[in-house]
Amino acid sequence: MAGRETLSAPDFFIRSLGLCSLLLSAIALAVESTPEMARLARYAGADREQVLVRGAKKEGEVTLYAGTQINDMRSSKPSRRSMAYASISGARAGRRY
Amino acid sequence: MIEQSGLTLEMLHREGLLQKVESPAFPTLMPAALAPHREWTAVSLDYVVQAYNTNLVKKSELPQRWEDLLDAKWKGRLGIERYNAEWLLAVVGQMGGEEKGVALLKEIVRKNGVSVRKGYTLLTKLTASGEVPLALTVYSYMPEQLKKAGQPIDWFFLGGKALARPHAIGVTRRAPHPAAALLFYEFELTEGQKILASHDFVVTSNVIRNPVRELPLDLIDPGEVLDRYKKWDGLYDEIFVSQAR
Repeated sequence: MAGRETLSAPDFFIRSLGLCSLLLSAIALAVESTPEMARLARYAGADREQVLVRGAKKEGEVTLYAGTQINDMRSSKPSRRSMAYASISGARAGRRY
Repeated sequence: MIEQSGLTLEMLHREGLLQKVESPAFPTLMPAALAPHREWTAVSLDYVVQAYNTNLVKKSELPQRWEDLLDAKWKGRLGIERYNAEWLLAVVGQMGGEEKGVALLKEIVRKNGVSVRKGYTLLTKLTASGEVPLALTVYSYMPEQLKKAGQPIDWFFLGGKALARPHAIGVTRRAPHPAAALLFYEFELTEGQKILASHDFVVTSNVIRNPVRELPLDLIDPGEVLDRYKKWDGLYDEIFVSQAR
């Protein structure tokens, strides 16, 4: 499966505001799990990984709001292989609580 | 998907934002990695340790107890990270309690001063460069990485037990790409553990051996910290930040 990764280091650091907006908007809304999230999070079938891989291929992307470890994750061949199902964009969270 | 300190993830849990997840990888992790509510999981432990520049501080002169930092030889040689209420709460427990511990730290700062730096990476690199001969709060993997790269830095810990805080992951309940988020979650608990360990992170997998995991440990409970965060954040400012030199 060909992967496409869209994260660049500048994006990773510059997009820290994304975390704030995500959290504020989420807090402002009543937060109940989406049906698909609820279903997948508790799915325990033997084919769980395959189900997630199929879903990830269809979704095509995921956003990771992270500290710094994404850079370490991205640095190895195994990580690139494992992340090949969806493009990953990232934002670095600020430090102050 | 969010990857942050356990404290931040616990905040998100209390706001009702995180999804409870049951992962088949859980049995491979140390029990303390699992939050009771299963809305976040620790992927690694951030050991908060002391680091020193090996050109400027001999191993033989390292302090053995926190009280040793009262010695005048440490004047102008200490540094600390800007934010660490979690560490403060835990470390005063090792010093015999809040009253005694806070008084000791205030006296160390009054007598010998402390340079406050924002960012663990920055503080670690300033220690390796010699600007801060002895750093009081760095994550163990950072000096370990620099040491392996040949830089003059090493680490140790005071208090008889290492202090560590969980570094965790979680997925939000309304994540727009739930399968991708959960797949990445699984990745961090399995294959990602090996990658993090190769970078000297102290991972929570029981499958991967790390000598640091065998140190006597006080694991900081994010929930306990959060209950009292405002007080300890204020105390941290009072002891260190307002007195910084």
